Amino acid sequence: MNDETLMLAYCKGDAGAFESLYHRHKGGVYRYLKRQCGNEATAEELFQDVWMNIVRARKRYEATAKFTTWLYHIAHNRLIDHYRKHSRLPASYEDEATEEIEDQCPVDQITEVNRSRQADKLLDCIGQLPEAQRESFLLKEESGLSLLEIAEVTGTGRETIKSRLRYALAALRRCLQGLL
Amino acid sequence: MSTENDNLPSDEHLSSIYKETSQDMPAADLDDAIVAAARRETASRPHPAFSPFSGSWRIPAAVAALVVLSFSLVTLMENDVMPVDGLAPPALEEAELLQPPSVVMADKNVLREEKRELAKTAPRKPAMKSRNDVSPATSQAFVAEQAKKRALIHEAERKKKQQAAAVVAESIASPDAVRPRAPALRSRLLTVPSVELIKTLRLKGDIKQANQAAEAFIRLHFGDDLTKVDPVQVKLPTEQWQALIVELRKLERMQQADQIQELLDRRQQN
Repeated sequence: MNDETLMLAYCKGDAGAFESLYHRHKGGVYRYLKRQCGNEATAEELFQDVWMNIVRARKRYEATAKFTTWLYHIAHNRLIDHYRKHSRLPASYEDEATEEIEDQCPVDQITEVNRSRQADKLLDCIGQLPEAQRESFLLKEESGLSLLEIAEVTGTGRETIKSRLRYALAALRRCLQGLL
Repeated sequence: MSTENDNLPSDEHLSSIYKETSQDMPAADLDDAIVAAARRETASRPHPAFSPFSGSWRIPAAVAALVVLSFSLVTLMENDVMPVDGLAPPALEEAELLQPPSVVMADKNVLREEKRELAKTAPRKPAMKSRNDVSPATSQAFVAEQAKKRALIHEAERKKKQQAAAVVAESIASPDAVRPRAPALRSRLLTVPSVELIKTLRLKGDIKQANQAAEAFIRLHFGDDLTKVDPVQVKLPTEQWQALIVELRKLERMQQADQIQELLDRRQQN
């Protein structure tokens, strides 16, 4: 059963459908929030808010919209609210990246480092990305959304997302090269 | 995955490393809390297909309630401000300031009781069967009946006031004869020389009676010897003491007015 059918079933009162949806998407949303805000306690609070928003807003859900787009849109908005509440919307959301992207050697050449260590290092590198670039990377990896859908979720243009992703990948490659 | 994803800048190797971190999950108690909340929502708030108070019914229902409330309020206000003996409702006078709140309340309670008694004895309006049964004739009859009822109440109030004036006059003529009477009468006397009575007598031009009532009022509330009244002990606002002084001057009791003024000045200095 696809996400949209499950959500419609939940709207009609099938709590089991919600449970299935929740278990299907909880990991992606949680990691997106946790890695985006960098604090586990805050991430848990935001995570709970996101799912409670889904529960409360179920009457407004229409099957014409893809469930994951709606879910990540709510998560993105909650994150932005969190930034604003702490009186800072990261500047990276306002600015387009302008720095030159250097050609980097592919990461798959970093063969001698074990994968676990690489994964830890990658999380460090993700944490160092500007928020907007980090969000684009996390949404791509966690949500499985398309370029257009990510643009829709974040309320930005398709080219902006593309550009942020290019910069994010370049920065991550550069960061991981330190492992060599 | 849609075709737009093909245009997404990607790095397979980075993605595969990133997937190593996918065991990071929310805590089990958080899962339980969210799922339980979602279950509660569906259990506690089913969405009925039709509810009598949903959607387009809310506004008309609210308007109807507002109309009923407004009508009740207007009816109540009419009853409260109906003039006595054709006089316009008098404005607040200085003498009214002399009324301690307890006395005012007592006056009101007496009136309320009388109204209640009259309402019990007055012929009752036949209950309407339904909205459709209200004909113009029935409606006129209802209005006439209400007016009659109000007239009865006001007539009773007027009579009570006349009786009260007589009691006051008697108490002035021979206070000792009145005072030893039953406690109920004594308590009644405390409420009798009301500001409203003094005011009504003045408006009628019965200055002598008005002055007598005012004197009785002062004596009953402040005693015979005003020099013994201590403004520090009697907890009245300064404005009310000033009103008392004005009333005393109207009665040409200048010496007493001056004495009270002196006491007040002393209190303010202290």
